[in-house]
Amino acid sequence: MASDINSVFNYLINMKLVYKNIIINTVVSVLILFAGEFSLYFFLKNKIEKETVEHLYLERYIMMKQLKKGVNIESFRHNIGDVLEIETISSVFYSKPIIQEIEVDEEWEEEHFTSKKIIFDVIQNGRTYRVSILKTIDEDEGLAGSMEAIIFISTFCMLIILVAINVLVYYKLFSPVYQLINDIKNFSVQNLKKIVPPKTTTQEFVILSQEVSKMSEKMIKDYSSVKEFIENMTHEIQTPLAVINTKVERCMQDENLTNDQAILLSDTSKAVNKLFNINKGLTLLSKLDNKQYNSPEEIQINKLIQQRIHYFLDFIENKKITLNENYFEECYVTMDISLAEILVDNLFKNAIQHNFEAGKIEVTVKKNEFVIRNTGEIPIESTDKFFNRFYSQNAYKSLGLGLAIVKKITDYYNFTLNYNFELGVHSVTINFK
Amino acid sequence: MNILVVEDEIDLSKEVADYLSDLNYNCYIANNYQEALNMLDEVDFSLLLIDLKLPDGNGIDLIKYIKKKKISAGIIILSANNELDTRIEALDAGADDFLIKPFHLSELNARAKALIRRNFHKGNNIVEYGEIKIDIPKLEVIVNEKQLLLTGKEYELLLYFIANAGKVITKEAISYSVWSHHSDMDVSNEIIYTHVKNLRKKLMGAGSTDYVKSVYGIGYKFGI
Repeated sequence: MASDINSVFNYLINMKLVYKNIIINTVVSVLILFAGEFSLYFFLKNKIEKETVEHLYLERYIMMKQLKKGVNIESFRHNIGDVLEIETISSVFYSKPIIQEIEVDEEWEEEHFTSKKIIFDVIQNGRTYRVSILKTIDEDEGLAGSMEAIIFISTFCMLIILVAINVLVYYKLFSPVYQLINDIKNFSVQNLKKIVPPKTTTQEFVILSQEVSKMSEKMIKDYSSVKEFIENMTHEIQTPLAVINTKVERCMQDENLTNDQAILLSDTSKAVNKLFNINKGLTLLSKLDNKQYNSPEEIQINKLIQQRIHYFLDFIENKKITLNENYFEECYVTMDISLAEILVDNLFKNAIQHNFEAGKIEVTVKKNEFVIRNTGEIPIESTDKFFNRFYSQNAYKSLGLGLAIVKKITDYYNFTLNYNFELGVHSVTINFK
Repeated sequence: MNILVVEDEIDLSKEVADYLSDLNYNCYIANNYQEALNMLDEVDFSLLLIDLKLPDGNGIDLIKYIKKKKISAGIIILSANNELDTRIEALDAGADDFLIKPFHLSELNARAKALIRRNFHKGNNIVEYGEIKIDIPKLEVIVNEKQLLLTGKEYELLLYFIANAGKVITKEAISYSVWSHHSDMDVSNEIIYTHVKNLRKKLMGAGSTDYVKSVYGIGYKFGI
């Protein structure tokens, strides 16, 4: 329940600008409308009441004037259209007129009237009379009611028009913004296509889209120069590496080499080899970044693994590792064959290199799933880092590019890659679906 | 046997030429496309080592030129470019092999020898060293007229040793050549050691001289 409220709340908070605006507008308009209606109602009512009272005073005034002229009070009974009552009383009680409000329920019409009554006492010919004049205000109030209805309806219509205009204006005015949002969403530096500012005359949007466009251009430029640098670097470094390698090999041919010199040369050769492998890995990663693998074919994972394991048997045997293979179901995956080989190879390399002597490796293939488990040391740091470039717990053992490549390949094909460590066993799961 | 090295990196071309000259080849160097064309017109080559990126031209065009002129030399591409497409393009144009920079000289030599053997000793492709004879098409090793059974890796090792006889071979080169793709796995050294040990045992068991000598810190040397 709480989560329901939360989700509704979230929904409200994360609404589109246009709906937010409409809701705020509507709520405020309705509130103002009601407040206006109420104040208008009371204002009119008050005014009508006042006028009624004034009217009653006026009638009294006219009456008093005529009485002074000597018109017989009895004649008023027929003169005034309003309900007039004249009764004889013993002494003057209301020397000043008073106003009374009277509610009348007329049963046959099922209507409710409010009336105002003015009561005053007069003396004529030595006799005291109490005059009360009654005036209903319902007639006038009806007018107020219809006025109110007109105002209410017109305001309601206005509200609807307001909402409609809002929606239209928003979609029209904000269409360049939505266009821009869409462009930003679809933007990828790898496409090398900058964001073209959508056509708009709204000043803020012009500035916004121009800035976004500039930013995208800058990103592409930066990305391209970094990419170019890596590509040039990896390519241009290869020839000098080849020179070093051949020179070292030539030195090694020297028969008068001392043991120390031999070790120095061997270390140099190893370092060059390492550089070469880093280079190879980086080239692969940048090729994946550039989406340069576009010849997918259907691959039978079971068969591929059996083939690739063959290359590792020497290494597995050397470390006296027990290998278990479980092929439960056939697993077919559509991907580039060279990438599939690299994927499987890197996982095997990883499982062998980070294994104990006489450790274990278990390979499991199910439909759409490949799991490789191996015994190994407890990870020192967060396991999320395993898929980062150049992350290696033991720099001597590996370059730390292997799993980054695995991650990149799985990302390339939208496979899910999971790693976990439990009870001394590392397991990497790839879900191909 | 004449070999032409077409490579614009002077240092590298010189090293390659020197190494191969030591192994009794006549090596010529061309540092650009034009030089290569001139030399091809003048000298009869058995093997061409071609870099794809030349300052004044493309190695692929050079291969096409060679094929057009019906020059029967074997062609090995030496390139820093690892792209599959480039390799396919080069092989389609008529190259026989493709070696990615940086390479081991011993690897280059082994491939060069294999290519020359294929081209010039058709049908009778036999490698001999002392009392050891390897029949390449049959994958047979004969020592003192008796067949010797070797594992696949031992066979490849022996072939690599003989191709580079007299030269010091690094463990990296061996692991690259025999364990092809997994040279970046550090367990290689022990594995190489085990395989070399087994190979020596088998060869000596068959009455062969112990040709394999280990070179401290570096690797091995095959020869007397």
